[in-house]
Amino acid sequence: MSRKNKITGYLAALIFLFAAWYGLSFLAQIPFLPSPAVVFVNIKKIFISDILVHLVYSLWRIAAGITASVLVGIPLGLCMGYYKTWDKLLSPVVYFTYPIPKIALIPLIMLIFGLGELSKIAMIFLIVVFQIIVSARDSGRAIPKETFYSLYSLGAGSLDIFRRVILPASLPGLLTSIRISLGTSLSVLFFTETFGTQYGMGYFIMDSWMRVNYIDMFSGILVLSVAGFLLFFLVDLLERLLCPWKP
Amino acid sequence: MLEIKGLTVKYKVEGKECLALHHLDMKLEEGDICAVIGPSGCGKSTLLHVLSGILSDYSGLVTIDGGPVDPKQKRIGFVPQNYGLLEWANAYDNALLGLDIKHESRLGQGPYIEYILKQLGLWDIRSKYPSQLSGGQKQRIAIARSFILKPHLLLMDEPFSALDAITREEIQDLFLEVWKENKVSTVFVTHSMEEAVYIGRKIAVMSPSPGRIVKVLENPLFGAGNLRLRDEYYRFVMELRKMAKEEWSN
Repeated sequence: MSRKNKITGYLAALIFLFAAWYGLSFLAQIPFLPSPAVVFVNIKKIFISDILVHLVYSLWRIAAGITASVLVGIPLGLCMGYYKTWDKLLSPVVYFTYPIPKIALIPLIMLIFGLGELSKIAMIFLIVVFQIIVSARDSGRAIPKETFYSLYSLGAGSLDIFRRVILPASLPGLLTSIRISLGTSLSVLFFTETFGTQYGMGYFIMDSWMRVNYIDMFSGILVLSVAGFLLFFLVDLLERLLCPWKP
Repeated sequence: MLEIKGLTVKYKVEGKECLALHHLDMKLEEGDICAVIGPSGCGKSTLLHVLSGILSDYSGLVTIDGGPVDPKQKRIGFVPQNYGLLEWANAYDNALLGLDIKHESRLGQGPYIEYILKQLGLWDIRSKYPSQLSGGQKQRIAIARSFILKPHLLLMDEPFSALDAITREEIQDLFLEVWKENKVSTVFVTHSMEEAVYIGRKIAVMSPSPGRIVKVLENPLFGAGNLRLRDEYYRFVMELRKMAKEEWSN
């Protein structure tokens, strides 16, 4: 698909979604499904004064959680993919801990890290880091061994091999895992922001709900969705920038 | 400069041990070119993997200038059968990989790099990525990489196989030209008898698997010039073919 076709496709989907929303709200005529037009007007009115601070808090938590996961998960996963002994030692640990529903650990996390920022970031980290480790390891493993041969014959050291082969070869896979992590961390974030804080999109949405202000609630949901979409788009942009060799 | 004594390489397939090379002996003088021919699957590529330091799990003695095969110490140029290009580097960076790994400046080599890339018809496509190039172009990048490295020992695995007939002849001539300037010791593997006679000063004939070298011929036509116009060239190729057939059918 050409770029122009892609953009037209996205636009059409967007128009369809909003039309469906509008149609539903028009037919249902219930207070907890306001029309998108009302929500847009409300966002314009309260975005800077009421929503922005929550959005900044949420984005900061996501950025911190994912950055920490990437910094730990990528080197660890790539080493597991390249060095057999690392894989032998660590893979069983990852296999046993990966399927634990870590969201259930939130009481424990709060006991350890308190109610503040740290516990929210730790929660995102704990869930996302495993996804990143596993996909980094798999993309490291998937590199055909012949790819290393030219470097071996030139006498390249481990650093050169990591920098020139392992990292670039696994980059597309890593960016995909970051894309998946973004979706996960948005939902984890929403959950963790429903208590122990008065800031964050999760708090804003739940607070509007409790105040029976459905227009505010939908404004929050829409802003959070758009933020999620923009983050996805950012990763796409990053991929185009970092992987120019991809056809 | 290169000496191989009793080289044996084993590998495992589904738990069973197979012999790839068995008691292979070989010698290469400084500045010599040796063509290695053999039936497919006889271990030609395995031999080059040992010489390039990729494969270190072998028994027997392999020395370069009296020392062990150590690509960190020695400059070994290797043109693998699958070209060995990095998908994420453009043609230019791929061709200069050798210099980069050896931490040598690109600037000092500028004119030579340009000369090689132009001669190999790569200058205009130097910013393209391997996925955008044809097999022949990729192969030429691999050759350019080994030329630019100015190696002490050059190893080539079917280096001209992906080129069309006319380009192949051009690049073979270019290879001989560059070789005459630098006289780098070269081992190259080929399945083409014509190529072996055209480029090799020595021609080593390998046995079917497990491979060893059964015969080493001095090529009387080496350096004679205009080979493709001479009858002796075709006669020698025929002789070689006949001899190889006998060796491989036993």
